[in-house]
Amino acid sequence: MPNNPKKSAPKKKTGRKRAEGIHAIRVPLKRSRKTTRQEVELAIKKRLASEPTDVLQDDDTLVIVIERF
Amino acid sequence: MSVCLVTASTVAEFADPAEIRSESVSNAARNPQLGILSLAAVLEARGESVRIMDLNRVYLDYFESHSTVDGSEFAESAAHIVTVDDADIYGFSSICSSYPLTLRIARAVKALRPQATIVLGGPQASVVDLQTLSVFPFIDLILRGEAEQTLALLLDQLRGDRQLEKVPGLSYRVGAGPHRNPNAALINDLNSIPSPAYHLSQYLQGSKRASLELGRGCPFSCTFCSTNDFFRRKFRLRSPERVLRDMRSIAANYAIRDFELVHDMFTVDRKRVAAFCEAMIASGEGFTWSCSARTDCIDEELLEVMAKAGCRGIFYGVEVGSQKMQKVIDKHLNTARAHEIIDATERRGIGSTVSLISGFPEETWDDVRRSMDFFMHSARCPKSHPQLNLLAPLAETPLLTKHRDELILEELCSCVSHQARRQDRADVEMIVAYPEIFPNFYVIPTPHLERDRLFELREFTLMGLARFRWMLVAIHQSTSGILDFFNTWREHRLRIRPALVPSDLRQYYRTDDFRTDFADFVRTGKMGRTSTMRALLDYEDALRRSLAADTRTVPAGDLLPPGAALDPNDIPVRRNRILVFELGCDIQRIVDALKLQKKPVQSRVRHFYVTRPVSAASSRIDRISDWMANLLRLCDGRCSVKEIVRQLSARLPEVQKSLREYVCMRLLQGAENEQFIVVYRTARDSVAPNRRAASEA
Repeated sequence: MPNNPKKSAPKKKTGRKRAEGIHAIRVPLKRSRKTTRQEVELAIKKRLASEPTDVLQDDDTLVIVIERF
Repeated sequence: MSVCLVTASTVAEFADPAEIRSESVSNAARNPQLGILSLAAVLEARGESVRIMDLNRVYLDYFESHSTVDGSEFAESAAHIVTVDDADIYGFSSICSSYPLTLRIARAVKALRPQATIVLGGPQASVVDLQTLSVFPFIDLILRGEAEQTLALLLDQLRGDRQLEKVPGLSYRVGAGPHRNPNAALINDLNSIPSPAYHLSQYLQGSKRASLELGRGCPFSCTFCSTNDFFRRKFRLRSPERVLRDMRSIAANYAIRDFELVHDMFTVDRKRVAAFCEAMIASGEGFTWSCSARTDCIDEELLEVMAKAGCRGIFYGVEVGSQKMQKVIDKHLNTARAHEIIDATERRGIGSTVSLISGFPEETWDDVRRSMDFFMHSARCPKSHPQLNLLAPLAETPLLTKHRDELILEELCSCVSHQARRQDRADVEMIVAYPEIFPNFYVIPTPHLERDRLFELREFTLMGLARFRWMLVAIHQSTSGILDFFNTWREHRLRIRPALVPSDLRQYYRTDDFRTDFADFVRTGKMGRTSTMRALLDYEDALRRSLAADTRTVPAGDLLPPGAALDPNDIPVRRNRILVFELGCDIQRIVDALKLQKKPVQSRVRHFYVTRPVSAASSRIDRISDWMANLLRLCDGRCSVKEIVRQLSARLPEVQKSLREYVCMRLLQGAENEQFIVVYRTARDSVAPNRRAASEA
């Protein structure tokens, strides 16, 4: 059957989406080569980091609820 | 001669036990009363026997032992505690909001120690001295204004031939009637006053902050303000060297390096403020401090120097948002300039408290709208804390003098004088009988404003800001303003909860019902369809879902000390108030756009967040990685380290298999360091993997 380009399904995009901020670091990782210790440590460091936001949450209710714990 | 100095109560007479245990009450109770501490220091330097009775501490102890507080019983109980040690003189400080309680305790003290002399001082007694002496026979003397010099003179006279007319600033009875001696001269050299006698109180025990007096006197004459009656209008400042000496002493004795520098109007004299800042910088101590200022007595350059010198907070009394009302209250701030100063303060990383007052008799809803615009301008600055207070007519102010005959006593008490939520019945009887002594409990009629609407606006802004800050900012920026939106919301609130009377409203705005009602109202309205509002509502929903799904259990076993090596059978569990949630937007991007009054750029990436407690009553939202979020979700008190490693490893496909256990253990260690989790040990005989083993991997 002749190949009809109009009827062929659109190519599915593959690959990871572009990540942001602390998500940008991916540990390794090319499986074809051995991950260096430096790469792992850097990835862990980035994943351990937290970024404060300007959002504060009043905890009056939260405190009362959680104090039961 | 032995003297017992009794502080003015600032936290008494709350109706709700939860309020008494709240952070705001706890902070208020810890706030030192510098006047009493200063007088105690003066007396101690003279070799007098002096002790301080902290009524706030007495109140909190009383509550803990009784589980309930009855105002009348408390006054009797407090009097017994005050008189446990006999004294020749009981000196009571006074402020307007707790003046009835002070008088009731003084009456009980006089009944227990009839031979002792009862002396009142402080801001309230100083201005209603003659009226107080006329109707409360248990009060012997009132020492008006600054008393560091006159209290010593009074003690000399009481010890000697009692020639009271020789004590300036003293009010007392001559025959049946009250008599007032001329005012005492101001203390010009504030460096001559000894440092506050903190060692006679418990204020600084376990505290992270201390108050220090920077100076006295405000040259301005706002119509609603009473400070001029006490400290007069002459601006005085302690020397930078003296303030630094006190700071160093407190740092050495209490390990406190953060200070609230108290002055009615610190920034009046720009040169001296700059000199103070230079001295702070040159000291190299790195102390941090806060102060008060007018927006027309400060500029960007000075703010920069203040920030470098350790300033971390400024209280701005802006009061009203319209130029018309600025003129009416004799404040005369340029509100456009005030906006710029709030922004400049934020840019320098200095927090600001922006105080607004509503309820002036000349005020219209258009004026309130301008005040609310100012409120929301401040609200979009994360370090700024706007407040909307309701006016209380303070004794002997120009405002009260003008409207003395119009006062109304109603259920809707004001909040500008830190009144408790529920007034004791005995207090109410006194307030009704003597409006000239307790005018701050009354209101001045507001012919252009409905009081109940104004009252609800105050509750709405207070709790709305605490719970929906960025939602309110978004609403204000994309509608005709927050006041219009409030009016629409109030119509809705009246429909769904018509039975709420004003006293119930206070409670309602503090409950989850308000949170739910308001979020639903926004969601179903036009505003709820905007992308910004959808994102903010998603945030609310995600937080609530996370709270509802928080089913942690406390595992059996011992809590491990932080940093201890982990055993496979140990059980990590999230700390209290650590909630993890996920959003389809970057909440900080939304906030950044609102700060700049721009439309946010949408992000499709999933983001993970955790609530991190910053105080007993509030948490900050921090963004965390997907790895950390997955880990924290597993730390529910049911999974062992071994189980968590197994489950988490399965969620780390991008990590080489051989490294996954190591990565998991490092994450656990990091979560503990960040104080997200604690770890319980249930079995002691297990072996690796522990952290050391992991770190050697």
